[in-house]
Amino acid sequence: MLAMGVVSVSILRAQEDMPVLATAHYNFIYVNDTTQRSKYHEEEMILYIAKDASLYESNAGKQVNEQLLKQAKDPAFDGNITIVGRGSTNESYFVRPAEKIFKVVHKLGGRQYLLDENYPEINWKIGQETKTIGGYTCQRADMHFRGRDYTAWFTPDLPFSYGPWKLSGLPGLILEASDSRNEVVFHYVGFDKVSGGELVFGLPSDLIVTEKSAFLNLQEAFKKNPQAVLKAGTEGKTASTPLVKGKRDDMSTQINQVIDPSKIKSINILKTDPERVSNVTNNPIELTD
Amino acid sequence: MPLPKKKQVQGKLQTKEGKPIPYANVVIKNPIGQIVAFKASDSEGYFAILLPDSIKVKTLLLEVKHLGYKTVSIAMTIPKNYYALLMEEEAIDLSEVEVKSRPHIDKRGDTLIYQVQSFAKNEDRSIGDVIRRMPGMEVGDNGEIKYNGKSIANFYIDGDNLLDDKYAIGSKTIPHGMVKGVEVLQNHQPIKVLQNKRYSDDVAINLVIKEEAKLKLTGQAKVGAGLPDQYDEELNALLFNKKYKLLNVLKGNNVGEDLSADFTAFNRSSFLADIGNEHPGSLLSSGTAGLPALPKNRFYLNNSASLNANNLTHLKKGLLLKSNINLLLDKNRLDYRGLNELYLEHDTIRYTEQQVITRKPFLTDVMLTAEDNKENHYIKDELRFSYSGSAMPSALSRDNLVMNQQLKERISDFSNHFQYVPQLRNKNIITVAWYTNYYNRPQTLSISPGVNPNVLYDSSTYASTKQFVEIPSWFNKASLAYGLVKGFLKQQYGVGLIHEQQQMQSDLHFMQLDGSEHRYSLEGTNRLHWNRNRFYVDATYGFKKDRINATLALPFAWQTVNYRDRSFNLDTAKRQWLFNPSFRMQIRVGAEDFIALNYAYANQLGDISQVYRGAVLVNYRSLMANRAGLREEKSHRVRLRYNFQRSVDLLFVNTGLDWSRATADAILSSRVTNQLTQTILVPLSNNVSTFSAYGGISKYIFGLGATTALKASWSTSRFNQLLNEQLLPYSNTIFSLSPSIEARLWELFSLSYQATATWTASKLADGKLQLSLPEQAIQLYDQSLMLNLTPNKRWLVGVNGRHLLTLQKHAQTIRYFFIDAHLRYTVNKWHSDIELNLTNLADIKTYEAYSLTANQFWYNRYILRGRMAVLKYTFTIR
Repeated sequence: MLAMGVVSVSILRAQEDMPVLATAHYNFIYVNDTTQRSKYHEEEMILYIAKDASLYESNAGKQVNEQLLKQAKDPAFDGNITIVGRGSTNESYFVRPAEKIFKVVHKLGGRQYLLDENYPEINWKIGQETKTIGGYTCQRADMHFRGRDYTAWFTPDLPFSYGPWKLSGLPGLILEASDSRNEVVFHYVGFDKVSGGELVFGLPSDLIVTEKSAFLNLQEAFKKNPQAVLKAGTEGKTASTPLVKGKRDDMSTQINQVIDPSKIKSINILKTDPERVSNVTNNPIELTD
Repeated sequence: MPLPKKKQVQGKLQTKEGKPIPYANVVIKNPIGQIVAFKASDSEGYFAILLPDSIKVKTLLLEVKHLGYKTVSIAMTIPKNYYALLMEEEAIDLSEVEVKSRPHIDKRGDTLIYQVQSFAKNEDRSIGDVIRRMPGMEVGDNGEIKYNGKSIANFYIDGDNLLDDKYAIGSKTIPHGMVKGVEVLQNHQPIKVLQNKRYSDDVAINLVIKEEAKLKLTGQAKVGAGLPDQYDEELNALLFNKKYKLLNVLKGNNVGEDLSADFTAFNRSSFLADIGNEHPGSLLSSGTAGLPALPKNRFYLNNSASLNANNLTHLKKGLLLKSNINLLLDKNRLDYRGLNELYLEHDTIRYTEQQVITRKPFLTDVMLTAEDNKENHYIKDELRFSYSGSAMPSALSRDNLVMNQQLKERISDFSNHFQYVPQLRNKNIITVAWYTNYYNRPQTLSISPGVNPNVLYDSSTYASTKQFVEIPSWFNKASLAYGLVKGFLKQQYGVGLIHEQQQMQSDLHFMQLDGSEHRYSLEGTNRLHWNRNRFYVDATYGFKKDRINATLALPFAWQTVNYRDRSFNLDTAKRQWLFNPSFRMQIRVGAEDFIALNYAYANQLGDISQVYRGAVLVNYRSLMANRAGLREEKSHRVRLRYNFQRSVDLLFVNTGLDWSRATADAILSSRVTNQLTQTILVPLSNNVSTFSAYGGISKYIFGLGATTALKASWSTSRFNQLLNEQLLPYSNTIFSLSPSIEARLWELFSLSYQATATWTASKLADGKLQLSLPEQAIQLYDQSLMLNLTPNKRWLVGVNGRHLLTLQKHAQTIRYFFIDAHLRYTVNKWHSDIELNLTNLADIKTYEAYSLTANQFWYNRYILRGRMAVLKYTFTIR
């Protein structure tokens, strides 16, 4: 009952699902521990682009689901699930620039929490330098944001004012960005169009709307006693609705059909290489100015 | 009047109906198309942009590109600084948005994922065709796959090792349309219980099968016929279910496709070497010429049929059962004429030989596997039975003497390999393994009329020579190890026992003209018994911390070898301690880069084929025997490798150095005359050293959609030969360079170019000796170009050209240019392809080749398959 105690649950009117027009993939590199710069965090991220909004999240969720499904479908499934992966970002960013909406969806213990954040107002300075990234001619733009000086490269050839993380608002898609110390870096991996509403995203109605302070309390509680929080949060409930849904291979629907939560005895998370990423974060991405 | 320091442009965006357009980016562009300033419209559609003072307004362009509206672009004029823009709504059209670089590769930790769709071209059919195009990957002519220069250890199909290491059939047969992605697994440990516990530097690949392709059985039927009298048929069935997987292929042809290539087990020889069970090689041969260095389908005059059946099922509780069955029936002909020159100090010896060999090989190979691969234990048993053989009649003429030869052989090979790896409660690991093998390869070589009467048969003529030899061998290895897996230093301590038992039996017989049979005195019979026992204790340390991965192995062994042959009064025992340490280390120098260092010391003893005393006629002109004790060779081997990759940029680089030096206490001594080569092993200490440097780079060029690669290697070796009682030190140097490019131009046209230039030089390292030909050098240039045109998805027209050039100092220049063409039409409605292949359009019927080793020079001339046309119909069964 811990989760219920600290989180005010309310019902949110679902944001209508928006068809994805294109996706951009980024390789996100983050030096979280400046005393061990070689043990940085590295992760593949996806930006889903719709007409009036974008959604940015880790590709790891998809990978974890793939593993879940694979093990649960195995005839030898004994109720014990092992998930192998490097640590991944549990936050998704939903941006709707016309209305200056910026929302963060946190995943914790199988549930998703929706938090409002201030819309990141960015004052970009356009430079005249250009370079080619992935075949696109990109132009440079600079700015200062929450304690760091960033340089971004955007391409007017892809007319979407979005970008990775909280970086957006340029007249073209941001393909690469990094801070002046190279501690927060987004490398371009690829861009692809998505045809005919094959993929949609939105904010489903079962998200738990909460406030930052309440969520931080819950996060703290989860760190101390994950089992209790997990139990309180998932009782009588299947996996929550994903933000991004596909028409064809809808993995989450499959997961709901295949996995009977009562049969799961344990979930064991194995890091592929625990020694490669530092557990210490002494260098937050957002610093105070 | 105070002027504003900056020029300002203002305006409003709205639709014809007067509805304001919020959050649309208004950009100001300079004449070269760069954006100099921009601003998004506010909620009322208003915008105000500050322009730098220095800018010339007259040259600027104001542009609004907003999804859902037609793009507005107007030239700015001087006095005007307010722009009211009416924008027209339209359906979202992304056709102008060009996708220039899809996410080709995902990288997750040690796994790299290539998207098949990004690399596949219209002309591709099988997954092997696509893997060939992926940067960093290499597919050899025999189907062997390498990733960044390293051969893959496993080939998985959706996580299951269906084909083991005979995976060439998989990459040839599986259509690329079934495969979503190709995963490259680096530092791959296939045994789950050992994952994160025992370090591995293996690379494996996994074909990720599309969900929709997993549902049902598919297959293909291929029917081909052509001129002159050609046929080429194939029937295959594929099913890659979660629970059940099968890949069954039935083939038959006479178009020159060697079906035995499908049965090549790429890692078998290294597995046997690791376990210490190297099979005695083939002792007898029907001739002295090798095969031409051309793709086999140019010269392979065949009639072949094969069945390749691979089936796998997962039972409840995770037990996996697998059967791999290979059957082959073949009949082929090789027709050649050769010259072999041997340069001696005062003399040059020349042999000429001409032969038509008809080979009739057959093969049956059955492998049954049961495996249980879990997080807490691993059990596997692999049972393999193989029976194969061939009959090889040939007509040989040599210096105007015509001989009839027949070489017959049978190979029986049976093995069972059991492994059990449980994890204990304290997480430590026990490894139990037992391997047993029986191997025999009886061979009989008959030659009529009898060869070399003056050497072999007191100068009197006789009817025929018959040489028989076999070495039945039993090999057993049992081992037990205990592994401590906690912390960054993993330790393993093991004990093991090897037992090897062999008997060599050989007889050299002569049939007289009157039909009676004689033995070649006593010296032509071997009854040699061989026993080898080894007991070992080993300690292995694996170290993994930060960027370093290292393994040190310290095996101590006590070995006894006994061999005896009563008729030669031979009864020898050799007992000794052996210590063969090895060390390897990998240092990660960047997120994707590493340096690897390997060192191994080996003290190796010769085998039974180096101690037999009785003479064996290994071919019509070579007689072999031994006089020395067991040959002992001590070698040091060092390998340094650097691997650099930038998977996001699709750049792959590898480079390395290899050095080895071996000292042996015996050497082969040859006594060569115009009639016969007599070879014996004599005790004499000698060294062999080799050094090589190599490198490769592979890069995908996004703008062109092309994969380019360049490989180079240089190697030199020094070794000795003992010829007619004279020790000759030789040095061989080889340099090779191979560039390649795979490009797709304008979607419909693709080009592939591959070239290899090889320079080989061989010389006597000791200048004091005078040989009749002091220095030799051969240059080979092999270039091939393939052009494919796909005007639409139905048609494919292609031409291949291959140019071969051989240059040699004292010989004529040899040039070949082979041209092939193909045409394909796809009938979607029928799920069919119709294909016309025209091979060897220039109708080249013979091929000449030179080769050079130490003091020997070879020239061979082979008969090729001529011009050919084959029409093939492929039907996909769904």
